Amino acid sequence: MTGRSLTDHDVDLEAYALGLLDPEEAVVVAQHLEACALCRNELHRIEETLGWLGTAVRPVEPSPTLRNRVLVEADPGDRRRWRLAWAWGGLAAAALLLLGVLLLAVTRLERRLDEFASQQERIAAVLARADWSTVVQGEGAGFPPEVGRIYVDRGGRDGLLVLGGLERPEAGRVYQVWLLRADGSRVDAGVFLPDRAGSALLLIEAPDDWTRYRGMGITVEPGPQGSTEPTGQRVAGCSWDWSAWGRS
Amino acid sequence: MKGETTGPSDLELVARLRSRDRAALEALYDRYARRVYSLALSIVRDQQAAEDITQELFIHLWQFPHLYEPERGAFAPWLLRSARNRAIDILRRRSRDYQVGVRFDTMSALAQDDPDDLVLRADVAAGLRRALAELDSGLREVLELAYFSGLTQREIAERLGLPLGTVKTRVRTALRRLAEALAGDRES
Repeated sequence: MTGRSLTDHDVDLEAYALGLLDPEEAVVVAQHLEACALCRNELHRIEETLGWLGTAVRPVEPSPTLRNRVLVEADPGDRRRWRLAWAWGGLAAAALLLLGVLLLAVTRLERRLDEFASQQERIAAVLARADWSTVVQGEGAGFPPEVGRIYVDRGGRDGLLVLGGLERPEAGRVYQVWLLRADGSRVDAGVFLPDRAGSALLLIEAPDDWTRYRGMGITVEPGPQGSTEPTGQRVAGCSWDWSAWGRS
Repeated sequence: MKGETTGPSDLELVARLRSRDRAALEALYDRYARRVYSLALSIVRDQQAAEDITQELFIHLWQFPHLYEPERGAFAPWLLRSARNRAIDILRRRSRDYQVGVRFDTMSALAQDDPDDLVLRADVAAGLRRALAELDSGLREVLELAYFSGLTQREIAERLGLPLGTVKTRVRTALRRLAEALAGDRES
């Protein structure tokens, strides 16, 4: 507890778990949870109650074909789509890849438009779902040792960067976030500029599940769109190790 | 009815998922798919979207069974909370046409021959329904909007014409009563 009463936190925790808070309120709760084991335990209790509430709906049978669809997609070994692409040969795979890139581009554009309309709600929702977070460390000259945290829902692709103490980059340049895959490749996760106070809230929609990544870095890149791969100095970042949760 | 399962426990099945045992996925699907689908459908009100959510959730469970951490609670509520999160996310992204008027079902879901209630710890589920039924209409209305609609607290307050503080208090009070009922059932 950091100077606020338990009663205050209980109010926030219920709404936080339901994803009902405004983003500013949700960030305050998330930051508090990092330091307060008591509230984390209370949050787990509330989350379990919310889970049981899911049993209090009228039962409806899904389509009989759904079971087969799930089991086919869960075929052991490589994923089904990769097996299909392999079977169809190089040409078909290339065509699929092109189609996939186009679809991804369209989907991301649509999502960004949607995000613009509902960003506030999404920030609160991402924080409510986040089940893991870690410190983002300052690495550039003049940066504080800790510049914020990244909050991640390991069961999904959404995350939230909460940053502070950032200097505004020189004119024409932006900060760019990169997600690091296990093979060392980097994936663009968006660009941003901090506000006058040096703070930034950035929703991240990872192309793949968070379990595919092992870290995050921030570089300074040419604005306004950033770069296709890192070209500037890395100024902040963090890494993590999912192996503790890895498949046997 | 104490909800004893007639087969391996959820924990055992999740452990077998980590060993890439497809039969374990089949067993978990058979136990919980209807629950997951029903909850998703009650939120998105779209059969195809609800099936997509169900499919994605079980595939994700298959690919990343380690995301369920037993020390944070039982498997069933974890899975159902994940289903709600996905459904609310889709609802919010899809449109502003929030689902209003969805109600918790406190009556029909506890048939004695309902096979998945046997594995859903029917005592806990029944206790929760009793507690829901005992909530006064004001508390329950706010809780239903908070759970199913995707509305924020401020939007709920505007929709119901209530002060924001009243909505916050009702959400808190309703969930506390349900949590106390669950805790009581566990102790009894």
